Amino acid sequence: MLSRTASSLYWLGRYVERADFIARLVEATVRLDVLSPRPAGEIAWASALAVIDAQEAFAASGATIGQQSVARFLTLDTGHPGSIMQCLDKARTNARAVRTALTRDAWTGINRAWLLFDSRSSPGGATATLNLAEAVKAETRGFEGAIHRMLRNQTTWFIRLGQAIERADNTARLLDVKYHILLPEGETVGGVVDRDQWTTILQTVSAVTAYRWLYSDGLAPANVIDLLIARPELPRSLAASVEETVELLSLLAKRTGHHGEADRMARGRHARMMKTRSADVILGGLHQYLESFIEENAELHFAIGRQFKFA
Amino acid sequence: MGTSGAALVRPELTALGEWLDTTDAAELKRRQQSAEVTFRQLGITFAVYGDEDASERIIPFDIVPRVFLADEWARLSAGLVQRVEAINAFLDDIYGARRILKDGVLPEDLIFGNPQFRPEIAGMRPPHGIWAHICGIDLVRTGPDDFFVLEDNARTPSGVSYMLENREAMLRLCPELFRQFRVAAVDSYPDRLLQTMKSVAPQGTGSNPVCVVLTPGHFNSAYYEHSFLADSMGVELVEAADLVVDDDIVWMRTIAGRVKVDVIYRRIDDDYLDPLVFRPDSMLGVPGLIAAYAAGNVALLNAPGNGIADDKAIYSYMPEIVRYYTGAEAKLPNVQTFRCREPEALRYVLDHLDELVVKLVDGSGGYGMLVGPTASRDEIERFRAALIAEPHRYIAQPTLALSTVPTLVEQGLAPRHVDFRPFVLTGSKGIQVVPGGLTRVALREGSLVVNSSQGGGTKDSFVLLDNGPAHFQVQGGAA
Amino acid sequence: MRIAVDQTITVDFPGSLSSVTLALRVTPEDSHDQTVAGWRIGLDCDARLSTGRDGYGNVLTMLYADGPVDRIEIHVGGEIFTGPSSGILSAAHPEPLPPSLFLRQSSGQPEAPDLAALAIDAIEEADGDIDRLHLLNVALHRRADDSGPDVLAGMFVAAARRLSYPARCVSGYLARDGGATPHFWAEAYVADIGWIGFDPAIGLSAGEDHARVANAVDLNGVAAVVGGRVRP
Repeated sequence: MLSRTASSLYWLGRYVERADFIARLVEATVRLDVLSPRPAGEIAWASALAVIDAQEAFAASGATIGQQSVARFLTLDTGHPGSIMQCLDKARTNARAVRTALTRDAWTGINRAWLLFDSRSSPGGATATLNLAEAVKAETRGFEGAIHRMLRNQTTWFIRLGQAIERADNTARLLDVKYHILLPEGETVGGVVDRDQWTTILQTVSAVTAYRWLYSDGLAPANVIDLLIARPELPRSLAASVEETVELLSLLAKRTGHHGEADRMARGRHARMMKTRSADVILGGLHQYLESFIEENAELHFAIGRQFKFA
Repeated sequence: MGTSGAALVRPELTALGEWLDTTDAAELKRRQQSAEVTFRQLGITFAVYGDEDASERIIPFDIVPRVFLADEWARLSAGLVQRVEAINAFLDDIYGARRILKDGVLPEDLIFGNPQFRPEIAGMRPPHGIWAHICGIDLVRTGPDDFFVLEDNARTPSGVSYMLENREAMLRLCPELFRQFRVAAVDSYPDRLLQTMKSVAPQGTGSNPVCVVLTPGHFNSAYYEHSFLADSMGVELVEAADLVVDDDIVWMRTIAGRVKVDVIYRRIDDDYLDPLVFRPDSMLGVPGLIAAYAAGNVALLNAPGNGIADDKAIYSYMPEIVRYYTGAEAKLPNVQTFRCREPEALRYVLDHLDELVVKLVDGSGGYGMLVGPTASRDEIERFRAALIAEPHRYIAQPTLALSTVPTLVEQGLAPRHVDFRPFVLTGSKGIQVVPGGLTRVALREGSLVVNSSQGGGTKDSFVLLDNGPAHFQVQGGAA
Repeated sequence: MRIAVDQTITVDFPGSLSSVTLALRVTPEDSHDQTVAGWRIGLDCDARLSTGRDGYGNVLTMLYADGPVDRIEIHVGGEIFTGPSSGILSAAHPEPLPPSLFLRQSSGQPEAPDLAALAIDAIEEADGDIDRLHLLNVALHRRADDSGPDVLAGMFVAAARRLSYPARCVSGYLARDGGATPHFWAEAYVADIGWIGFDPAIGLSAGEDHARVANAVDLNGVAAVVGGRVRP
């Protein structure tokens, strides 16, 4: 496979995943905003910006933090490279470049998601925003389904590799933000706002039901952390993403006959993840753990680019 | 309803007329629309020349096939083989020994003053001495067996994907035709093309040379065709950035490292092949590609420099060129052509502007063209001035009494003018004509312009293995 | 005349490239007019060189280097011995392309709308082809202001073609003060005589102090290096 093709497929996977994640984040934040008394609602939107590391970019836009402004910034701001619209635009550009490698379903999924934003200038109120986020999720689910119906070959592996790397990054960021900034003044850990926020995180990664199945003792932050970091059963957990990355890389290695630095890094990370206990992570400092995870994930991303000669 | 189908077809094609008369026009229309929907979904679109921002359009498809009988086709093929043989011999000569100039058959300045003659590659010889591997020869017909060559395309002729997709559509929509007409298959084209590519691989590349299709990218108007051909041959579709030349060898960048490339079917103009040679101001292309070609390490289909063979200024000399290289009269005649560079011809043209078609030597796509009989006074006067100012840039041809074929239009069936582009492949093992081609049809009544950018459409071209059934048998229940 | 060449060409690649391909035309050849001794091309980096010919018959050296690279230094040198010359190329010089090719208008030519007027004025008093071309050469030299030899050569070529003389650009070296500097001049074709070198930068025909490297229809075709930004 041409390196350029592989690169486009990989980035297609990353951008679709990112668009989906931001849609989930917006959705969860709208819910949290609605549930919370002021000023917790405002803080919910500030937190959403923090999750994707976009506080500065938002400040530069000159708007003040609020449901309308942040939702707009996250969904269809053409000047913000991390908005859903921009992610889908980049996903579509990459998909176009490898159009013939995709099935019609997969292409249509991307194209339809992209069309959701055609000639749209405002996300509207809370309900309209929720609808928009839901529509994005529906289209990316459609894309996901189409990928799983495609031949199990290098094409799908590179897309899924991009998704796995992106997902690991997204989940780590989501968790990190909750851990260190969220509570408004006067709120106590374990209080109503705190509980709502943990629930929001579970919603963002579609893990509310999974949580109830796996943990019988009600909502406890340590359990949420355990679920999102160490439980490979949850598709969006770090453990699952780490495991999937290893699997995809070894499928690719088998096909190309080359093992490289990305394989070694991914396997090393996986071996460490298998031994990771969330209790130890919390004791050792969750923030430090997540920060180094995000950094290592980024290094792996570059190693993948080098190994497969993405220009 | 328009005219009866039987009244529109040639007497030897009674069966086709009967098919048209027994098939409901609304049903034909429905099938035609269904084909166009498929084309749109597949993305078989083109962009209009000179209109970069135009949204993608599909070329209208006409459901009534154009039919060639076996005898006709045999004669036509022989003419095409002869013509392409001459084109290859001409290119090999003109960039090499230039015997044809020494023998005084062509005026020197016609070649050396022509920007299509590329001094940059003079003296280089493609592997196996083949230059024009894929030719599309545009033909028109004025009567039974009166075919004329309108234009030779020896650079990167496009349209073959229409030939294949139109056939697919016809097989799906009108299967009854294929039960009664013995139509030669065209679906072997990708295999034939791949064989042709492999056959011209440089010596010493082994039994399984690496072949690729080189495209300018997905914004190109013919991108669908590029990807279609690469997919159906099972070879990589590469862009210039995927290739790198090192030590006079071409490599493509893959996830498993560099892979040596032996044969490139390039769908990029000469100007954008190699910025070190043709356009130093261009960032496009593969630096060093021509050095690899000159070193004999890669085959380029078609060879660079071919523009000198299909140039409109050269066209009028094709009968002499064919005679010179094949030792026989051209089996396919040219349309009579006045070379406005010659004072006598210019005088005649200026006196007969209202009867002639005047063409810019370096124009394409039907632009820069005057169709005298339908032109306004103003247009004629504009061309008169242009001709006087720069006569060498123009040729003129009489308007031909072009044959028409039945075509489905709004009002039903009606006669429309057509041309035809068959595709001729030349490899190291010989020349072959694919039994089919692209029939382009001028959809506007009376129009002679078939270019897709000017409202032309396409139809399937049936080459029959015999001289056709005597009658069309209506099947029970068939619409 | 012995012309000793020791030239350094520095090529920059803004943004640093992962691999570099250059086309070099820096190799003079033996002919009836000159003899080359001990010619060499040296590089300050690892690279693969391969030598062939371009369509004009010039020696073309392809240089392939792996990146990352943002700059390459090319050292070119050796000795060229030239014989006394009136500017007329020896008839035995192999010419792969006919003179009529060098009448074409080329995109690489300088735009100078007053060239035609200058050419016509210059040759008003001329007596014969060679005299006309000489007068043109002198006129361009007088008008030279601060144009470089490459620009002047391009102007000579354009003006000569307007007068219907085949003309081409030539690159090479000019002997000066015991050394040699890279130089450009022009050649025009006169029937029954052949190619004659004219150097509008000095207002004379190209004599034995000119060592010839490459010729082409335009300046692009004789550039010493194509493919990077040559440091002035």
